[in-house]
Amino acid sequence: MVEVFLQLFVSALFTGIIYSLMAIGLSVIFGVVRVINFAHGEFVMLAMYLTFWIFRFLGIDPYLSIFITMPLFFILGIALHLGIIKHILEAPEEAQVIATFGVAFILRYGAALFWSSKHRSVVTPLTEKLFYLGPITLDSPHLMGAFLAGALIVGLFIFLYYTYLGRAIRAVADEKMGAITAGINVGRIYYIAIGIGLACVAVSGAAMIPIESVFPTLGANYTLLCFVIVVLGGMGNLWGSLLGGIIIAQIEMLVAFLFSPVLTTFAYFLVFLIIVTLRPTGLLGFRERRS
Amino acid sequence: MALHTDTILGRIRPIPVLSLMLLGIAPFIYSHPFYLHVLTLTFLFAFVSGAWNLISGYGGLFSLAHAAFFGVGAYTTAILYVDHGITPWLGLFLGGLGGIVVALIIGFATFRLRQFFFVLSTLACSEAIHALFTYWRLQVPTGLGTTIPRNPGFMNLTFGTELPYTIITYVFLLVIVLIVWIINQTRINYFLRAIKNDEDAAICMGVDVFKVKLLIFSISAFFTAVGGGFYAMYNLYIEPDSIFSVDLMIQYIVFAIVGGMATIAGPIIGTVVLLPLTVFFRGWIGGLMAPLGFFVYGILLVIVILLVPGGIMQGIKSLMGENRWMKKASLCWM
Repeated sequence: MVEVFLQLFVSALFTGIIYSLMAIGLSVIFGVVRVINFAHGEFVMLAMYLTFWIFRFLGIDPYLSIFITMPLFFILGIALHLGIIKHILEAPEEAQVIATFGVAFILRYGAALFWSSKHRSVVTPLTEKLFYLGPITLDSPHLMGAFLAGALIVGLFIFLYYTYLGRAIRAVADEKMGAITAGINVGRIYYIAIGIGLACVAVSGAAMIPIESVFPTLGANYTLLCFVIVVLGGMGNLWGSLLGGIIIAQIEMLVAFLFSPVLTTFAYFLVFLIIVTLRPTGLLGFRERRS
Repeated sequence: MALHTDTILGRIRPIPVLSLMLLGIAPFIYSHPFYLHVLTLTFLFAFVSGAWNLISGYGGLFSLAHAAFFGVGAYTTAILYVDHGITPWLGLFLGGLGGIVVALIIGFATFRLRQFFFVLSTLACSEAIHALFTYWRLQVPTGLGTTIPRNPGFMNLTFGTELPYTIITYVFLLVIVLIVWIINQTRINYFLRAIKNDEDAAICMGVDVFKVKLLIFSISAFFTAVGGGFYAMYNLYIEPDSIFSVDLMIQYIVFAIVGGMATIAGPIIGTVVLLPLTVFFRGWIGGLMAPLGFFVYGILLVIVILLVPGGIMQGIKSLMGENRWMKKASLCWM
C-alpha cells in the first residue's frame, strides 16, 4: 500500500510541476497587467493542438517543437494584447471577464469547428519508455514533461530576478506608479508579460500532450485548474503558484484514487472555498490593497 | 423598500408594454408547432437571461454559476417527479430554493472579497456541481440520463400540444420583467447602482453591500433554477453533461450582453434577435456545424465589449439621442 501512495505521490509531483508552469503563466499576466484572463486554459488547449499538428505534419518531437511554439505563442500574446487586452485595461472587472471569456469561446469552438471533437494524443518511441526506481515506475512523459517545465520555471525565475527586463517586469507588478516614475515603459512591459505568460503556456502544452489527449473542451478544465492554483498560492505570487501547482496535483491524484476521477473538479471547488474563507490572500500571498 | 405608489402608474412606459403584449400575441399568429417551439425557447431563454441580468447586469457581478442553478433546478424537479411523484409545479419551487442554497454558499464565501473571487467561485461552482451530479447519477442503476415519463396533464406540467408550453414560458417572462421592474422602483436599484460604480463609496454611504448582493443573487438563482426545472419538463430528458453545460448557459449570457445589460428590455431583445437566428442557422447548416454558432457568440462577446458595452439597447438609446423626434419618442421608452 505504501508503494502505491509513493507511486501516486511521485506521479502527481511531476504533473504538478507542469501545472505550476501553466499557472505561473497566468500569474505573470495577472500580476503585471492586472487583467483576469479567462481564456488561459483555452490557450493551453491551443498549444497542445499546435504541438500535435507539428508532430503530425512535420514529424518534430513534442519536446523539440517548443522552439517553434514558444516564439509563436509569444507573438500571439502580443497580438492578444494589442487586439483586445490593451483596450480593456481600464474597463470594469466584469468587462474584462466577458472579453476574455469571449476569446475562450472563439478558441474552444474554433478548435471544435476545425479539428472536430476527436481526442488526439502524441505517441513517440520516447514516450513509451519506462524507468524503474526501486518500487516506483516512472514513465517518460511525466519525467520529460516535469523536466521541461521545471527547466523553464528555473529559467524564468533567473530572468525575473537577475536581468534588467525581468526586474522591470517585477517592478511593474509590485508598484506600477513607482515603475513609471523610475522610467520604465509600462506599455512595453505589458505586452512582454503577456508574451511570457503565453510562452509558458506553449511549453506546458508541449509537456502535457504526451500525458493527456487533447480535445476542444479540455481548456475549460485547465482555466479552472490554473485559477485555483493561483488563488491557493496567492494572486500574482510566482512562488505561490509553484507550490500551489504541486499541492493541487496531489489533491487531484488522491481524490481520483480514493473516490472517483469524476470528482476532481469538485475537489478544486472545495479547496477554493476553503482558501477563500480562511485565507483569501493565499498560502504565500500578502494582503492586497483594494484598487 | 417603499414603493413609490403615488407615481408608480406614471412610470409605466407604453412602448415596452406594447412590445411585450405583441410578443404575447405572437403564439396565436404563428401557430405552427415549429414556430411555437422556437417561441417557447425564446421566452424561456429571455426569462433566464433576465434572471442572469439581475445579478450580472444590474449587480455588475459576472456570474457563471447559473449553469449550476439551472441544473440544480432541473434535477430537483425531474427527480422529485420521476422518483417520488411530486407534481413538477412544486418541484419548480423546490428547485428554485435549491438554487438559492447554492447562491448563498457562493455569496457567503466571496462577497466580502474582490469581485474576481466571485467570478472564479461561480465558474468553479458550475464545474463542481456538474461533477457531483455526474458522480451521483453514475451510482444510480438507471444510468447517467434521466427520462421523464410523458403523461400529459396540467399537474404533470406535460402537454400533448406545444401551445401550453409557450403560454407558460410567456407568463414566466412576464413575471421576471415585473420583478426586475419592481426592483427598479425600490431603493435596491439605487443601492445596486452605487455598488456597481464604487463599492467602497457605497459602504461609506451606509449601504449594506453584502445583504443587497446576497438578495439579488438569490432572486437571480431562484428564477434561473425555475427555468431549469421547466427546461427539464419541456425536454422530458436530462443528463448532467447537457444540463450543466456551459454551452447552454453561454447562450442566455450572450443574449443579455448583446441585448444590453442592466436594462429590462436588453435580454428580451437579445434573445428575440439571436435565438431564432441560431435555431434557423442550425437547421440550415446542420448539426455538424453546431460549434459555428458558439464561435460566433465568442466573437459577438468581444465585439460588444470593445465597441458597444451597452449592447443593442445602447445603440437604440444613442440613436434616439441624436434625432430630435426620436428624443421625444424616447420619453415613452424606458
